[in-house]
Amino acid sequence: MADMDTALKEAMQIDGAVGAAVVDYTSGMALGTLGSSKSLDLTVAAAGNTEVVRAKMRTLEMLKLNDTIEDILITLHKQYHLIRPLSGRNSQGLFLYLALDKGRANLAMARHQLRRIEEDLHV
Amino acid sequence: MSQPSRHLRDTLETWCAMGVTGAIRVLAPPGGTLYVADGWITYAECPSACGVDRLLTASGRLPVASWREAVAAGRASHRVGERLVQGGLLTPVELEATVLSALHGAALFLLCLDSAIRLDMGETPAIGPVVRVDLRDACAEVDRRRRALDDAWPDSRMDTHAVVPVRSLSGHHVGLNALQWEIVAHADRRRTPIDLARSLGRDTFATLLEVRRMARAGLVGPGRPGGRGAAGRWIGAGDHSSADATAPDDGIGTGEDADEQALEPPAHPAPAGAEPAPLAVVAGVDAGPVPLSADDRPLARRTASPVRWSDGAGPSPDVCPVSVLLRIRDGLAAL
Repeated sequence: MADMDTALKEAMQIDGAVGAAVVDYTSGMALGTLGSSKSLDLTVAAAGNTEVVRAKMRTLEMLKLNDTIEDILITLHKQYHLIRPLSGRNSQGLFLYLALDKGRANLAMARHQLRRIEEDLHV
Repeated sequence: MSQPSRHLRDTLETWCAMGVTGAIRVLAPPGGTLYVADGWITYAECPSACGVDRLLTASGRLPVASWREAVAAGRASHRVGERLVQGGLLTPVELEATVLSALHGAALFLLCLDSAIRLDMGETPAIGPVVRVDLRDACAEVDRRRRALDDAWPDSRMDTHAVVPVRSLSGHHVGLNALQWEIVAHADRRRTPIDLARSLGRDTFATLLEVRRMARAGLVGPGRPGGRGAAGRWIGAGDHSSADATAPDDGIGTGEDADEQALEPPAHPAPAGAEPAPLAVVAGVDAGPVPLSADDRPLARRTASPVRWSDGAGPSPDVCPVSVLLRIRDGLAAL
């Protein structure tokens, strides 16, 4: 329990973070969430963003780029949504999801920190 | 403590609100067990869904021997999960993700049943205290999954009938993801998605979902109905005519049926486990979850041995192999 919780807590420490989740994209289920609220239901976000990840992965395969997704950025008018698939050998099928308040967030910093959290998640 | 047959969720709600700790045995087919601790769900298992043992061993993530070692070392103290992490076999996050996957996989089948249930106070799952899930969240996830299945393709026969890939494509090419490929590669016109998930060690819901997606794309269709009640009953969700179909187990398999090769016949949805096995055979006899139609027999003949016997008893109930009688005797003696 501790490790996923720790990762989510660290993600919420990132400047501007409003919600974070670890999501299984084979099932669309949020394995853990933090910061879910009326205005941002992370369970719904998890299921919906699973489709985004699947679609992008399918596209990459069709393009035969022989590359994988490092992260996906979705820019809203008020928020950034960052999706980062876990790349560890054994964490196939999970991604980190982070919603940031656009006014308070430093995007480059947030990406950097999310990468570090992802690396720690399955040492 | 036991309850008469009624909607499982209502009974669970009461017990979870009371903050009970114990194993809740679901008596209606397909049967299963929900473990609660202080009113939180900590584990769930159901013969139709992949348990932690199959998710780890049948998928090739862990060698069967390592799994058995961890079970042998941790079963008595209910710390199998901890052993796996301490032994460096799994990371804590992986363990947590696997247990959650097994829990929600079983909940998908169990939390929509109207069933008599029995509470065995104080029992805890052998995997140990890995996760805690609120009953409401588990129910919400079940509802989401059922909606997702219906949205993908509304024909629920795809869940309970054999997966049959179409023989020719209307287009020139097709793109499949890894799980879809595994499903198609292992579909032998007999296995249902539930059988396939078990033999591949993949999440049952994810397999059901991919099969329905492929059905929508016109790549697979429903074959004959699955031969086992566990696969066939959950959609109906209201039938509790059969007797006790649960097996006495402590929430963990020994991974014995993980020896099965990918191309072997489908695993029957029976609990693994050295000690409980004889009892499971008894349950199979008493409950006879589903009367087999002539249509089911070819599949039934291909299932693993304890089930082959109970299925075989259908057409000729007088014939009973001595080895099975011995196992029943041993099982009863063990009680």
